[in-house]
Amino acid sequence: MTHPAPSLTPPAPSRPILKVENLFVELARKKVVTPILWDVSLSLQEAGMLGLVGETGSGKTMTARAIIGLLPPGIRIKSGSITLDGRELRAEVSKDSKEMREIRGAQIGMVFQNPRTALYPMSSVEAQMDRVLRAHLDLSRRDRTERIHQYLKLVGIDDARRVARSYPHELSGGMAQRVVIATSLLCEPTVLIADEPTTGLDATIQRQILELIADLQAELSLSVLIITHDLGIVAQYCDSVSVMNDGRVVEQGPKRQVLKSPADEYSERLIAASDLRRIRRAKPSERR
Amino acid sequence: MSSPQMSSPVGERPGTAILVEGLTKTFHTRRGIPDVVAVEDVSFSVETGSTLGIVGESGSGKSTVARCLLGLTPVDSGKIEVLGRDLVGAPARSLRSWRSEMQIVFQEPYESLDPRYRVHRAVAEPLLLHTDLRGSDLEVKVLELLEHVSLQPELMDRYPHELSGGQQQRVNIARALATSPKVLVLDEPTASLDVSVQEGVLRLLLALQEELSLTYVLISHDLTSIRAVCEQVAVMYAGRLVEIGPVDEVLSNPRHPYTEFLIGAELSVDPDVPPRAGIVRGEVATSERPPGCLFAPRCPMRADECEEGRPLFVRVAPDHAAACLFADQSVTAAERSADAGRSADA
Repeated sequence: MTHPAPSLTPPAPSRPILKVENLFVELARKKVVTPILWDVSLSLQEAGMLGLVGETGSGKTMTARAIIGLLPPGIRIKSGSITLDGRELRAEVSKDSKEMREIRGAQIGMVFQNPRTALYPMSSVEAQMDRVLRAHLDLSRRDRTERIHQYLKLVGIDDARRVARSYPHELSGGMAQRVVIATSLLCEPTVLIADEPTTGLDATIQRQILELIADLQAELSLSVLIITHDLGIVAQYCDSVSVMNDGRVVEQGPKRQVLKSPADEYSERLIAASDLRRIRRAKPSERR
Repeated sequence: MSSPQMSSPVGERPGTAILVEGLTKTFHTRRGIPDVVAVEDVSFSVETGSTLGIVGESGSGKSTVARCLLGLTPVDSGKIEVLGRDLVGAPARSLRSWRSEMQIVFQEPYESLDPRYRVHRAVAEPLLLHTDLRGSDLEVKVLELLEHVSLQPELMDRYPHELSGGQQQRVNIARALATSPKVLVLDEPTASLDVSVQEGVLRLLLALQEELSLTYVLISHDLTSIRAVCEQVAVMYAGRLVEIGPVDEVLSNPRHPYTEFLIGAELSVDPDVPPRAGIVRGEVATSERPPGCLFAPRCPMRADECEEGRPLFVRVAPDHAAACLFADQSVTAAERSADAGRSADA
């Protein structure tokens, strides 16, 4: 055999598309200032999937909200930088400018934890998706309708017409999350931020949604930042991971390195706790 | 190969703490909206001192079974015996007195506590209702209960909102243990807790079971905690039991396609252990209940016979049974669905 072994396509030189550097976020109330995020740095590679993990109150959702400029009132960025494809967003994020509103939704798509509260209960699916399109793109009514149906099909909704006419309460949790994902992708963002996209969904539906996100990522070369407390999602779907605890990033790196040989004590404990197989009840025969 | 077919997967044995036979519960709704069949013909038994896990997704009927076990929800038909007492049709007064021997811990630790009661009063309340303990005897018992669930006595004067989720759940467990029950129904006791806290609560439950010879029914959607604490597991789908048997056997050698997909949906934290192949299509149909197997519309193994009637249980091992016509065949549902292409989406 003279054929050279088919060379594996060299991994595309990855470059960070979304970068957070030395981000400090604080809550200022009267004269008391409480730090919320402390020196957070993250780097999402182009077409990569980064998992941001941590327990309740670790600051993972706050980090996402800082990136998209949706920090709750009273909470502000103190210092640090957020860059999207080389463009500094920090100033835009802080003053919630027109530019930021354009970036949000058009360049960065967002999927939140509870699909039912993410959807507006008083509008049909089609009406709320149409609102997003009108805000960002200049398309005719017919093109918009077509695009809505196209994206509903893209997320695996076969009867797109019926679902488009439905109201959120008529959809199951899994279906509602598909609609939220379709909506987040309507304007072809390069980055998708998914905050606990499968928490609260049934196990078999969780798996369907994760496979959908992975397929879409490959198909559309999306860069995905997935925020989760579930290390199983990181192990199976992400390529790198950042572990947060108490407002700081305590460890980050390729998933294998972090999950298999964590360097930080907190990540080690978190990984151990996720593997409940260590606790086993004593078999009746072993009890005595 | 012929396999015995049974309408009920398990029989009564000596040392049975809980026996359920043909449990059925339908919730009636307003006119025009179809009734909801929450539980249909469910049978199982739990041996004294052991743990049965009931696993299933939302709407599978597992929480309704939990409530029926305590007589909190009246049943339509079927038999429920807990500690040898027939609960079905028992007068409310007897139920109330029996309930000191069977208790429940709910999913939402904060919601289950009265926000105006400090820890001390929350734990003392069941003692005041069910026992004659008063004064210093009561104090001693409250302290003892707190010690049992590893809560520091200093927390006695706290309000629920001043406690962490794990501490709140420990208070609920202390309340449940106050009347020295023999049977404890645990309805998703760790579902809303962080992983590191879950572990502590599960370890506590195991230690208490050992110490007090408790019988547990653990309701959960999470196979990891089922695997950690149960001996037997029952899998529910759309109100029916589809598979039952020893945990290790059911989870390593599932014989019902739904169980197989449920296990397949688990994601290992080890990146080198990929999930089982095969993703189940579609979602549970909540309103339609065709006469055949309820999983058939989503099942890659579906055959015409599946639509003819509810499949009976097929015994595949001494204690292991599955309600699938193909339970004793070696081909798995994942293999069937792999043939049909990697169809992830519904």
